[in-house]
Amino acid sequence: MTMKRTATQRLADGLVVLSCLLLLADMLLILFLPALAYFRSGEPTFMTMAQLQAIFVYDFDDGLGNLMRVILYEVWQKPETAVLALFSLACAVGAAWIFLQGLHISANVADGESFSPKNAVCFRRAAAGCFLLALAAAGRTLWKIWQLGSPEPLLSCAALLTPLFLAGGLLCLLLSALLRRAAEIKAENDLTI
Amino acid sequence: MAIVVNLDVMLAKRKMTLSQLSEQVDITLANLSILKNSKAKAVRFSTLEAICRVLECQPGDILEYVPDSSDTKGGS
Repeated sequence: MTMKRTATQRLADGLVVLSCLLLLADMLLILFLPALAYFRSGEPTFMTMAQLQAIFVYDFDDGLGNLMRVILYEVWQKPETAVLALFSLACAVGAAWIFLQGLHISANVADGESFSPKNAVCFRRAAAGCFLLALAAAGRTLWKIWQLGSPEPLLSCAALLTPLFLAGGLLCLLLSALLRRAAEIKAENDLTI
Repeated sequence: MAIVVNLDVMLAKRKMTLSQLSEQVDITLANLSILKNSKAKAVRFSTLEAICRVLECQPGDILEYVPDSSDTKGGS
């Protein structure tokens, strides 16, 4: 006899689908982030985005070759674009790691294992992803401060991401500890006859 | 654990099997087995009441306190 799924399990089912989509989109984005950082820098020396798009229309293989050159070589020639690319890649990798842990947690909840040590471990791993993002944002802010020689970057979005993801990481650690305790209480309750 | 469950002794006295007890008290055989083997962490009063009613006994007939060998001082 199949048990009726609870509202929590149905919610978790939706989160599993969403987490999969987010993870896939993030993995695809990682491939093109260095190119986006290069074109966003404002002064591309090799070619502009419009030029690359025109080449793609004319000859797809040629366009792909030029895109690969931008991703693998051109973006790393100037410190500004290299730092932006590294920051973007760190953000994407951290986000992918967080989405993966979210997927595991959602799948466990959908299977009816809400209060399990596995979920506590996933939250601890998600915290590591948040701290990586906070570190990347802090690194980029400090680099901009050094480059410009003024504290103006402290008012940028990257500077705001540092305390935001730091708080997120601490929240994930707190949830991990709570879930671990909840799992202990559940195990004890399961042995209450 | 210092609390020993003597459920098998009472079942033998009443000539009843664990399965029969499980059906009469409406507790799963798995849970009764956990209780019988002293693996349970806690017992609800409602469970104790149901078992005592079916086996026609007192809680003391089922539960026994056996001090650990490390306890040298008696309780007051």
